Amino acid sequence: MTNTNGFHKRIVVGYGSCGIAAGARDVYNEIQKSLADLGEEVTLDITGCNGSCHFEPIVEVYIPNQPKVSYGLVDTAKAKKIIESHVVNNVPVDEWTFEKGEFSEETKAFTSPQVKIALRHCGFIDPESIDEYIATGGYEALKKTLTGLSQDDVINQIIASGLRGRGGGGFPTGKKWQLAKASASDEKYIICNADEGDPGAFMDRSVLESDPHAVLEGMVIAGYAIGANHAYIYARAEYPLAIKRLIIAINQAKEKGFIGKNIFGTGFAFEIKLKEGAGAFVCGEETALMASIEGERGMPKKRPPYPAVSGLFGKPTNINNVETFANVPWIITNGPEKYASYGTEGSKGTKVFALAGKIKRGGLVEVPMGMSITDIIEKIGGGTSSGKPVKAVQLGGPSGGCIPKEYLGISVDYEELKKYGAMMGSGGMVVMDEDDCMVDIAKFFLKFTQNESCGKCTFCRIGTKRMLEILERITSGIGTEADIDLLEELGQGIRSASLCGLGQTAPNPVLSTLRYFRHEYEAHIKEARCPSKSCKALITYSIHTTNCTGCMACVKPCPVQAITGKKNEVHLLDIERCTRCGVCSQVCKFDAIMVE
Amino acid sequence: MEKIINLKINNIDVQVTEGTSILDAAKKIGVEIPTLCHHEKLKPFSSCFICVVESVKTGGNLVTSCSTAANDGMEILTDSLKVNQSRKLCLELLLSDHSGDCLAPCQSACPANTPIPAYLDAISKGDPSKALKIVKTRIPFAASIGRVCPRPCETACRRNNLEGAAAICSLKRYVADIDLESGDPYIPECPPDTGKKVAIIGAGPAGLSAGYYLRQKGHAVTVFDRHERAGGMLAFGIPDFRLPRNTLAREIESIVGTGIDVKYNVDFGTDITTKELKKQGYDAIYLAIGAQGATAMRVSGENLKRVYSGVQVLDHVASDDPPYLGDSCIIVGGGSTAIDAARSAARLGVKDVYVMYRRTRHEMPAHEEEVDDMVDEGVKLMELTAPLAIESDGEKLKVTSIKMRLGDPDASGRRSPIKIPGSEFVITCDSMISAIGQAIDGICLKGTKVETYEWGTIKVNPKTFLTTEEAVFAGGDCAVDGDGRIAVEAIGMGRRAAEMIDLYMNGKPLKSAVNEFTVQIGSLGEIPPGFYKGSTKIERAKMPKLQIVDRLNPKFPEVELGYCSSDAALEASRCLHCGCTEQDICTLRAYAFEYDAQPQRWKGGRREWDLDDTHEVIQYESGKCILCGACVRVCEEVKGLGAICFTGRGFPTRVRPNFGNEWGLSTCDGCKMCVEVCPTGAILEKLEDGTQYQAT
Repeated sequence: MTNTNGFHKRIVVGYGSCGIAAGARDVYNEIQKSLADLGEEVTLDITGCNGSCHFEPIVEVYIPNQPKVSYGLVDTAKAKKIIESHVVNNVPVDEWTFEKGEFSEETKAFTSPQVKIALRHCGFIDPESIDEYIATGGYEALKKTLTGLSQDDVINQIIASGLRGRGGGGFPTGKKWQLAKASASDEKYIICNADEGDPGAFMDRSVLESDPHAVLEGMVIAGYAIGANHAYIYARAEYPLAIKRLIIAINQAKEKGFIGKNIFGTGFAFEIKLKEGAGAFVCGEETALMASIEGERGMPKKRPPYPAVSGLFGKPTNINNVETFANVPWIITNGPEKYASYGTEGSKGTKVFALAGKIKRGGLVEVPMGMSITDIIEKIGGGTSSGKPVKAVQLGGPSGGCIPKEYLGISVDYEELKKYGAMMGSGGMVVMDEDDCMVDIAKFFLKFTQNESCGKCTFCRIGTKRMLEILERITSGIGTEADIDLLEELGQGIRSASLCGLGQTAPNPVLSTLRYFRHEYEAHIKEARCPSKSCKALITYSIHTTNCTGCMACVKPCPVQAITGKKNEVHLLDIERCTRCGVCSQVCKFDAIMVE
Repeated sequence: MEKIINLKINNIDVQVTEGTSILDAAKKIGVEIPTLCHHEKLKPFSSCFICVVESVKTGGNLVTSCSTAANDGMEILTDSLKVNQSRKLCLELLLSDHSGDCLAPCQSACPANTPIPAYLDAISKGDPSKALKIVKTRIPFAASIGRVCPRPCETACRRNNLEGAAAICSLKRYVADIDLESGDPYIPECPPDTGKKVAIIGAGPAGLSAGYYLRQKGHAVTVFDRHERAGGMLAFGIPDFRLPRNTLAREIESIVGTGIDVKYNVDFGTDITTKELKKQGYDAIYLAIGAQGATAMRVSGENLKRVYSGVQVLDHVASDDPPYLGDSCIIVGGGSTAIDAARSAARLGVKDVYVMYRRTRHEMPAHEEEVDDMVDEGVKLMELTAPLAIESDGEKLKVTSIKMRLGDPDASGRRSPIKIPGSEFVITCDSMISAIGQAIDGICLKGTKVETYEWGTIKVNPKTFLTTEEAVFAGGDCAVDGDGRIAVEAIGMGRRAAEMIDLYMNGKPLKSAVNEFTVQIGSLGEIPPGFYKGSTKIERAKMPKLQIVDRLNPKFPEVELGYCSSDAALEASRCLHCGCTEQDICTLRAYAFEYDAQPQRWKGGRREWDLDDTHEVIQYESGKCILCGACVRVCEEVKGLGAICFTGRGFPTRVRPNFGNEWGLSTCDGCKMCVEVCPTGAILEKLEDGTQYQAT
């Protein structure tokens, strides 16, 4: 637990997917082994992601009556030392701590501008322990709801909070609940959309892995508000840890009576089923998601009828995403006014972003709405990882768009982002520097949507394929000037004649880059030149005869033996053989590899 | 009581009951909104997006009319510019991923768009008269074209990948000869006079074809020609050994027999003008004046005595007034005119006939078989040779020539000839014939408002055939360039122009009602082996020909003797019946034509051709599937079987029998409901033979 006045020493390892990927499993095992040898009783716990993915594996040490100490970038050797020095001898290894160590400033910069509501417990509690959740005030909001608030009270509070759908659409959550409540039916459903699929986005996964009870609690509250007794969580099977922790959480909540019949003795019954999706991106679209739960192929259907009227199994259904539900208990506990005190006129509260790409401090951040993109990138993220200037930021994943550096002063706000050709989306924020080719970026996202199209609508199925082919022509240097017109014609066509959001927004990455970076497209077409020197078909590598010292560093790593040379002699690069992989330029310490 | 909804569709007030779709609401006022995925038996699906309409009050966004319910106060436009652009793009995208043949490749390669599989089918079934009638819907000159055509259809024939193309052209001749020899040749019925009259200048294939089809619309037709007999280039440009003048004359009789009035020895431009014809009350004029001029060789001495043009020589031969050619003659060129001139010279007793061509015989525009016949008849080929200068040397001509080699392919795809320096040589002959191309003699157009390109071709709108002068249309050799100047092209233009002239005289928009739209599986090299599954090897029937010794006769007896009936029937049975049996009822094709879809704009990766014929009753050509899902839905919603499903994601999404099985291994019981709802020819009921072709 997070209080420091416990009876004995305690170690907590960051054990979200990011931590595990960074080596937390080895660190955990090492600590476990060391503790076994120790003879002293020390509790070893896990927690989820606290957002500082760039510092994982993170290990926290609690010594009774002393402040918590957090260590970052821990490996097995460091773990050993921490046990020895800190746990046994009570001497913290200051140089590795967040509080005093080399990255204490960075940690402060990363965390202080953030406001954690949806992520309030992430990285602080053990996600596999309902007791820890309860100890931090968990399920109090549910109790308050069921024992003291009417359905309309709950809905009115959510409306007053200004909470909007965090899955991307941004529809006012309270309004949605109101519509579902208004639909008369013997049966209604709550669905939690946990089918997060945008490349580079991991907000929902992190919440599910780190604080699953917050989502469950939000769902029960929503169920009460609309009059539903059944719920589904639709989570992608590619999130095994999230699923494992959800199953644990559901069972714990059932045992404690927060899910089931007669919750808090009020007679309200609510059950939650977990449905694993097979990983089709389109199943994040609500009508496709419901079809998938029903056992049909995940293909979107025409709306109206909206789910609030006719949803899952033809019954009124309310669908919200993970982050939206995670906000709900906090709003009930702290009051809608407090929530609405954050944000802008139309976008209230906070938003979680997955900060990725060429960013120094990547990870999960939660900021109040209205913060400028520049602040997020520069203050929280610490600027680009390369040190080069930011060129653009991609927001909203494959449905979103690129905002160029000139407009990064705009604030995080549903309407504002749309105005500039991007969208809030579910929260992916990819930072790009000068070395990123915007045509290539557009191609990357379009390739994703083309692969993930369900194939139903003509424009989405064939139109995105044709756009992709045109982009491939352009990045191969064989595009024609007419290609830009064709891209725009197709883009507009797909946008206006596709059934679901996937199709309607699929052209956005292309259209937004065409809007701001048309000159890059034109350089590829008219001059067969990639201004970022990243499109392989349009660049050649050569060796700078003055700079090359003949150090041989590039000779061996070249996978196709295109570089030859002797020690202390200028090396030769065979451009016929060269596959333009760029390994040589990465290993060269003398700026002797030139890319033209 | 059901609630009544009031809305406006195309600014017309419509009342429907609540829950009615916009598509059904539009039907109430007689507006048919196109759709591919919607079927009255099925729930709305909204996948094809052809049925989009514009919703004026919601910012002009497009909504699917099949699945959007009519609402009070709605304002809908069903054929605004935005709607039509979206539909056109949608069709183009669907068709860009449609791997099948609407029309057989031979038919689409034919400039006259002749329904070839249909007439071959009739011949193979022993019904030449039905076959002839099918041919005559496109080619009035069946006997003539069946003899002289360079056969672009046979070049496209899929059988080329097996033992060789079907003898499409000669089979046309076969049925036409039976008809002409019957004593009662086929003359189509013509409706009563409309009171409209058309003047046609030129009684060649373009002019008479236009007249033939205009008569079938009931219009009065007068054809003016400067010669004393009709036929144009067929009469004066093709020698008797290929097309006997008797045959041509009888065929023309059957064409003129529709009621065409031909006025001979009238010189357009001198005796009559467009202005005068209009004054005489002609509602439209069709210029089919041909291209009887010759392209200059641009070598010095080409105006010397005994240096003739090919068209000039053939014209004189046809008028029984052959020029003096001496004992040796060099013909320059590689087209049909050059070959005809050379073979004529050989028949006129010239001992040494040479054909000089700057490329090799493989690049010659003339049909291979003509070249073979010519060589058999003793004409010598001088390939890779071009003349540089001609000099007079007493009674002889001294021709300085140069050898050539082949370079890279030019714009036409043929390898371009390049002079080999220092390879000049001199050859002597008595006469020379230049046959390197035709030219238009535009003098007759003086005084009209008809504009021409600088090289002489008349400027016409390729779709309407209108020239720059009001009410004046043009077609045939005078309105096409270079290699396009073949009789069958002129005939095709004549038929299409007739339709336009008819629309024009009736004050209707000049939009054709004849759907010639097609997509194709691919070029010959792209046809998968599976396409030929089950076809047995049958060698192409040999055309009986006159013995060589009998051919070299100044009376120019016909060389090709024609097929006998058993050869013809067997040869016709070699047809692979490419082309879609649903071509006339396919909704996709009908819309493609209506919206003038250009699928080649979006050329790219495409589904592969594939035929699943493993089921007893059903056959499935997945290349033609447009994923409307009607089959999947009818099988589930109506039949309750669910034997068909969608598989995959993205562009490669497909409709397949369940579990991706072959159709024969699926749970399909052959009820054919899917066949009924399929808007294309993807799912079909299996036929005993693939032969249900109808002439279009």
